[in-house]
Amino acid sequence: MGKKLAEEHRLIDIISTKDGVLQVGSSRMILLSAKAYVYLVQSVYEHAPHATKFLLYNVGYRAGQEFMGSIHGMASDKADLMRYAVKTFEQAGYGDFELMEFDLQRPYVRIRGKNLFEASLAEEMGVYRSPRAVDHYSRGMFAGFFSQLLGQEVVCEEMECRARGDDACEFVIMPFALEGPAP
Amino acid sequence: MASDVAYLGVDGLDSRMPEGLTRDMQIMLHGDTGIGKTVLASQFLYEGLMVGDTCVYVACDDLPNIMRQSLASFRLGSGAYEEAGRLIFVDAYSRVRSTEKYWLPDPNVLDEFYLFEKKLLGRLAGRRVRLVVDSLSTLFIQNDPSVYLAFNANRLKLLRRLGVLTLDAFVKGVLDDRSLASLMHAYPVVINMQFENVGGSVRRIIQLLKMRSGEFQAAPIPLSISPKTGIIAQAY
Repeated sequence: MGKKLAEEHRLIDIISTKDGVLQVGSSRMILLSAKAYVYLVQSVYEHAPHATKFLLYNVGYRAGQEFMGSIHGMASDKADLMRYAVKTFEQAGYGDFELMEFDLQRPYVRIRGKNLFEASLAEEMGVYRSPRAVDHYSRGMFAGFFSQLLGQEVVCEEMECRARGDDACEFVIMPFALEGPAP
Repeated sequence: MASDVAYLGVDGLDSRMPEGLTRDMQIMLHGDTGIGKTVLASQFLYEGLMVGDTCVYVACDDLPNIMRQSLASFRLGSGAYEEAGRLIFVDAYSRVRSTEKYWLPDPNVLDEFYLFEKKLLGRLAGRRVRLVVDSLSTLFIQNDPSVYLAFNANRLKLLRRLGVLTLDAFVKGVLDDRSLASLMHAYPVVINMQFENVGGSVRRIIQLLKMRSGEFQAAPIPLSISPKTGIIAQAY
């Protein structure tokens, strides 16, 4: 199946609505407006400002794991599965992404994106004191995708962010570093 | 879009200084053993990485891996930042050997520490830098107060000139009161963390004791520490 899995994937072909239920493939979905997402984050911040970014990351992580688990059997090529997952995320309106590097052996993934929903809404949310990396849900999602593929928890860091004035949002996914690099 | 204003990364504290910190400020963090100074230091580093700073952590009281593990508990992948040169660990704890790229085998020789810091920060010229020394009091106890006070005065001048936002941790009870008072006078920002006995039960409190040229709320507030999110400092 190779690279065709992601290239030929069109989310719009598997959307259906019936009896007030919106389905994408076998998954029930809801449409949440950008405004509603802003209110959600603002409310979380009002109640637990210390936990907001961790909560968003965790939600994205679990959702990413769950989604990758649901498509795992579609192909044996893990790079293609990763591209498929990122493509789905893109078509669902989360942003415009490109898988720049994928190294299963190392392991290491780099994703570059523009128009991410979190970065575009950061100013409107008004919960950040200064310009910073803000795409926590997206980070969690990408980490969830790759963790599920690898069978071990990895972490995603946003090395560049449009909300901080960088040209694009760039993500690096790697295992946790509990020890320093080898000398 | 980079901001000239910086924050600690602990929401309950940052909300108490509405104007924030300037990037050339040095902060004295003074606290009881086991109160959470290193947790606060990890959140300070986390904040720096989120806003695009290059962060330097000088580990005097334990191996740098302890901080890596602490950051990992907050689901922060220090490896990516280390590879990008945005997070630098200095091992000032190990005496015989170290696997770290940056190692100070004898940090108690304050002249050597000063030169090391100056050289390292010089390499980072042009970047926004955040520095943590955890803890500076460990380096001082082997020296005479007149020596370490003079050292720190010169050091703070250098850090101010270089525009390095610094968090220096001090363990309570290590230095004499007079030296402590001199140090508190020298730092523009002083944060105190301590255990307090309230009606038979012990609680942690944190307080912004001093903030030169800035508006702040000085009342102490209780804090708790979550293994997943760090310091929760909120007065209700």
